[in-house]
Amino acid sequence: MENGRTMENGRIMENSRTMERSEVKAELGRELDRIRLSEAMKDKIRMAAGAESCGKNCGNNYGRNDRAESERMRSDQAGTKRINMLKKKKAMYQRILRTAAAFAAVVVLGGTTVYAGYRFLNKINVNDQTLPELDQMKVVDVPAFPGEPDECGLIDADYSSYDRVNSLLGNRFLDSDLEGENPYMQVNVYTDNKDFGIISVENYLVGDTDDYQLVEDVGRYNCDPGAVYSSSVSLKVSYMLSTEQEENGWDSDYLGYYEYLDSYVSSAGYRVNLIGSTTNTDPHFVTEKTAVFVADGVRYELQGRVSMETLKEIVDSMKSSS
Amino acid sequence: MPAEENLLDRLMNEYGDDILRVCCLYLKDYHLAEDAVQETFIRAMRSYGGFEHRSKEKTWLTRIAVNCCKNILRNRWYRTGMDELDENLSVQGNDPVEQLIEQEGISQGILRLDPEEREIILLYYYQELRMKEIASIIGTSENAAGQRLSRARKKLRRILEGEV
Repeated sequence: MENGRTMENGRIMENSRTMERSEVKAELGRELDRIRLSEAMKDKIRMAAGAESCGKNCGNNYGRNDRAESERMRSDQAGTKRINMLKKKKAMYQRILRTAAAFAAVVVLGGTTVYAGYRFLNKINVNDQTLPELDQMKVVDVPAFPGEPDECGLIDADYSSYDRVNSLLGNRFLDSDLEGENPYMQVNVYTDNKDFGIISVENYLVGDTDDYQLVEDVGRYNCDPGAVYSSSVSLKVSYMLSTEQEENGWDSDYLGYYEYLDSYVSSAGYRVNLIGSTTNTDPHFVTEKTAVFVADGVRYELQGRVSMETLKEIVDSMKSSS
Repeated sequence: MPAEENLLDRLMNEYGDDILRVCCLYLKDYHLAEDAVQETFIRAMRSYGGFEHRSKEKTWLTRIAVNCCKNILRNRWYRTGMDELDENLSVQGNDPVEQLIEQEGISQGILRLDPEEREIILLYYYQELRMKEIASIIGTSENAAGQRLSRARKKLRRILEGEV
């Protein structure tokens, strides 16, 4: 026996002993060592990427290209480290955000597309489908969020109360009147206090879920499903702080196991898009659903394993807290 | 060498092996994994200008790779049918993934998980991402990601201990 583990028939884990994360990583690394990206494969990728780049330079507006920036970079012989710093500075000083992160699977698509002269900003795409347009996101006037920014000027702070975060931001954002705060709420604020802010709230609404247990190593709660809420419902609030951000928009993409379910107008008059997960085809399984809407220029996303009716009820319960 | 080629080479040299391995275990098919890796780096080069460095480069690339894998699986699902998917994804011949299937170890156990379970095990254990990063990649809340990880770990443990 070695290090408390038995090795029988090559099996690493016996007697229910849990391997440390680093041990699993090291073991996987050994097992996968022979799988490497070959030079032939790298050449193939270089050729394919070169063909893409040629397409861009030939005037196809396939990505968000800054031609002057590209030419300057090509003439720069100082190496990739400077290139990365330049890109970072460009990102900071031009203040352009193309991607909404937090809990959506997102890939940057490129520039906004002009349809017959009308500029459709703030698109939400589910795989290849662009969903019906919502109300537009707009610059909002909120106090600067307190906190020490990192080297990129970003604040990434955790709280246990959405009410507290909302009050720090001038009670600008909607809140549900279905429930009061619960002790399992985990709130994160991510903002640069210049262009954008994202508030993520885990366990925003708990409904009739039960038996919350903290999973220590992941820092999140497990719970038992209820009759109405098969999971808690999370909230994400995305807001713009600058006109530059407003002009560039805020596209979101749900790629992979998602489908567009429905669009409707809520009781408060908000246009709402409903997106569903397609990962479980069992008709008895309550799949995860997301409701997305924009109210007074701010985008809200509510996500959880509830029925469409319950999700619509939650949307209707979102009211101004000021 | 032009600057963009420097960037692409750096990305491939730093992350190429790991991205390929994740795709291999995700797709259970070496050749599909190669397609996914190629698509990953093409998309990365296309969108690098918009990469805000709000996440680590590795997280960003992994997100792109997972989406490419999902799209490949999704397209194969519509052509093949869900019931046949896993069988069709097993490749015969001189295939590193097939060798993993045959050799006993954690990889073999991971390959026996469902796609969602494989995904989260790979992101947590192999890519060593934080739950926040994992949740953003798989498109769910952190709680849901934590629960999925917990279930996947239990199943993997049962597989490795010969109970499944």
